[in-house]
Formats: sequence, structure tokens, C-alpha cells
Amino acid sequence: MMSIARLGESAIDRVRRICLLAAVIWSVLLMAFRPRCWTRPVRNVLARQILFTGIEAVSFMTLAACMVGIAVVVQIQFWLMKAGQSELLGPLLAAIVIREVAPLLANFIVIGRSGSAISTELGNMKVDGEVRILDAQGLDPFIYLVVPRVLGVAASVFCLAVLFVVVSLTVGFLCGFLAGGNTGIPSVFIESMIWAIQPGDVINFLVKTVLGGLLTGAICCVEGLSVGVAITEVPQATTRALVRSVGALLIVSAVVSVFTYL
Amino acid sequence: MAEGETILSFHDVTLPGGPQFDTGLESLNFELAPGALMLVKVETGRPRLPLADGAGGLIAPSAGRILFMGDDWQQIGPDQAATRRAKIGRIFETGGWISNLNVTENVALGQLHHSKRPATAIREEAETLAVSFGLDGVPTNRPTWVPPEELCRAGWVRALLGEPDLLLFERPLHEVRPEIGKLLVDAVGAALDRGAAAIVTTGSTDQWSSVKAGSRLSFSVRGATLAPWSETAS
Repeated sequence: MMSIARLGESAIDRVRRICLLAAVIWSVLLMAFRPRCWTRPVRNVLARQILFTGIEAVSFMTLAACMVGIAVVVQIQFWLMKAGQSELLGPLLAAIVIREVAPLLANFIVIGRSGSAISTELGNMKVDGEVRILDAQGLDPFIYLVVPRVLGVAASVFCLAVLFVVVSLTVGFLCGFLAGGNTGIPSVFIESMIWAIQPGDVINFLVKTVLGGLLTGAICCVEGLSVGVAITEVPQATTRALVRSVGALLIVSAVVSVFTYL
Repeated sequence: MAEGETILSFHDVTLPGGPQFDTGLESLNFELAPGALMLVKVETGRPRLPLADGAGGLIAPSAGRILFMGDDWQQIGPDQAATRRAKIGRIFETGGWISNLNVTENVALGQLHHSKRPATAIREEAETLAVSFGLDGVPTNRPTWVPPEELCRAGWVRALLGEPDLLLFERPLHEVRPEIGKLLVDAVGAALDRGAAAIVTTGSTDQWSSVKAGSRLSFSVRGATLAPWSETAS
């Protein structure tokens, strides 16, 4: 009986956490459309978040996109040519790079670079009483700390994923061309890609990047702000934030992929 | 604000203690009209009181009502409460700085959030206040890199920026030399003159005796209560 009770408690706890995350994301989206929330300090936090999460990750994301471009795109080109199925290049690249690799890698890189930073920063602020100080000055901690961070992360993931797609496909094409593959002229390659992208791919890409980013931002903020009074709780919260962000991302990615192929 | 209107009133208030305070407080009853100064002499080694947090609506009283500008903190929503707190200037017992902002950003944060005044006007007012407190200007470093006495005075600038209606000062002079402390005492006098009210916790009331207030309340902390106390008798 005890084990069943524990199982039930764990299930209820998970449902509660999911409800909390849903509530946080919903509130963030509601606040995003309230102009009076976007005061100068809040806009400043959003700009800084996009700078740290998006712009400062551009070089690393470009490098990752180049590597994937070389590894994946070139291989697909060669194997399709060997199989005499060159016309499938566009649909295959769309399926692999746009639907799966780009959203997943962009999210992973943001979780690794910024997720840990957000939860650590907010955890330290909580321990040092800085959240209370914001409140004392009439700055709602949710509006000042959570809203711009969650939206900044989501916008950054989306932009980084777009960058990843463009760079990886460009590098893949160039490598295939330099290696003597039958890549055709650039305009034909681009045209085949554009024709291969279906509305479902666009929706899939948008959901995986934007929802993935919203979840990462919300999980890291919630875990960071859940810290109590001890500084030793901060690394624990950060670890929890990273593990839960990755878990949520994989679940969202799998569910969206399944719905895309149905 | 209207003449004669009470800025802050405590009605049979009990404020709970907690890990961030040295004691809770019971049976608090007082009213602060514009121009009123309330001095609270704290016990040596036990300076952290829940009084300022209670007055600012940050902690709920376990009994009684706290009214700011006529409204009970517990009866208004979070948005309204946040807007009301813009009218409060506070000096924190623990410094109260956001570590990832520099001191200039910290000082202007509340005003930039609550008002539509141009940033340059806010910065100019902050610089004027800083100079009046003997600083060369508002420090531009992060709080951890600013010497305690300068940081303390930057805290005064933040608390007085935007002419707040209520001043909640927690031991504002304990990190500065007396001759510098006098600059704040004079600034508080000027704020009371224009119709603000103030609660000041202090280890020694000597420096505050020169402040001319519309009305003056003096208490000292005795256990969990505030006992009326005569400054002249000390």
C-alpha cells in the first residue's frame, strides 16, 4: 500500500508541476500583451536576455551548424546519389534538419548556455533577498524577472534554429559541391528545399522552437525562484532545472514529431 | 496628497517574526500624517524589525490592519500594491542592492519602472541628490565594488529620488560618520516639510533630535513591543 501511495504522490506532484509550468507560460504570454508591463527596466532585461542567450550564442551555433552541415547534409547527398534518388534531397533535408536537428540543437545549446545561468542567477537573487528588494520598490518580480527571461529565451531559440538551418544547409551544399557531388546549381538546390517544406514543417519548427524555449525559460525561472534561504540549494536547483528542461524538450519534440507524421 | 490625510496607520497590528528578523512585533497602534516622523530605537545587536516590511505591505500582519494612503495592503491587488510602493522610499537594513545592476541602474530602477519621466531627468535628480550628500556623483560600479560609506549614501539617493510620500529608513546612519549623517537628517527634514512621513529605525536618536517634524513619535523596542519613549528623558 505504501508503494502505491508513493507512486500516487509522485504522479500528483508531477501533475502539479506541469500545471504550474502551464500557468507560468500562460501568465507570461498574457503579460507580453499588456503594454504597461513593458516598462523601461523590463525592456532592458529582455534586451539583455536576448543578447546573452541569442546573440552571444551565434558563433557557437554557427560552428555547430557547420559541423552538422558537413556531417549530415553531405552524407545525405552522397547516399541519395548512390541510390539514384537525388530528387528526395529536399524532403529528406527538411525532415532531418528543419524538423528535428535544428530545433533540438538550438534548444540544447540554449539550455546548456543560458538555462543554467538563469536558474543560478535567480537562485542567488532569492537567497540574497534581492527578490524581496524588487518587491519593496514596487517591481513585481514576475514581471521584472520571469516575463522577459522566458520570452527572451523563446525568441532566441527560434532565431538560433533559423540560423542553424540556413548555415547547415549552405555549408552542406558547399561541401557537397567541393567534394564533387551532384548538387546542381544553388538556385535549384534552394528551389528543391523550398518546394519540400510543407506547412506542417513550418508549424512543427515553430512549436518545437517557441514552445521548447518557453518551457526552458519557465522551468529555469521556476527552479531558480524555488530556492529557499541556503546558498547550497542553488546548484541543486540548477541541476534540477537542466534535467527537467531537457526532459520537457525531448517529450515536446517527440510528441510534435508524432503529430507531424500522423 | 490632501491636507490632513493619514499616510500610514497601524491598527492593533501584530507582525510575525521570521528568520530574516530579530523579533516579531505586537500591538502596534499609530498614525502618521504628512510631516510626521516616527523614530524607533532598536536594541543593540537586534536591529532587524518587520516594521518596514509591514508598512510597505510586503508581509501580512497576523492580526490587525495596516493602511497606506487609506487602503489596507491586504485588500488591494498585487498591481495596485506595486503602484503604491512607488510612493515609498526605503533604506534597507541589509543594503538592498541588485547585484547584477550597477549602482546607477539600481538607484534609478524604481523611478524608471514607475514613472514616465525621461531617464535624463531621473539621472539629473539622482546626481543632484548625490552631490548634496557629499558624493561626486552616483557611483557607476556594481554595488560590491563600492566602499560601504559611498554605497550607504547612494542608498539615501535611491530612497529620496522622486519625492516619495513615505520614507522607511532602517538604521540609515549606521555606516557613516556623524558629519555625513547630518546631510541625511537635513534631507529628511526637507522631505517632512513638503508633506512626507517617515519611520526611522536607529541605534541612537541623538542625530535625529534636530529634525523639525509636524508631529513626532518616539518608540523603543522592548521585546516584541514598541514602548513610547521620550527623547528628552534619555
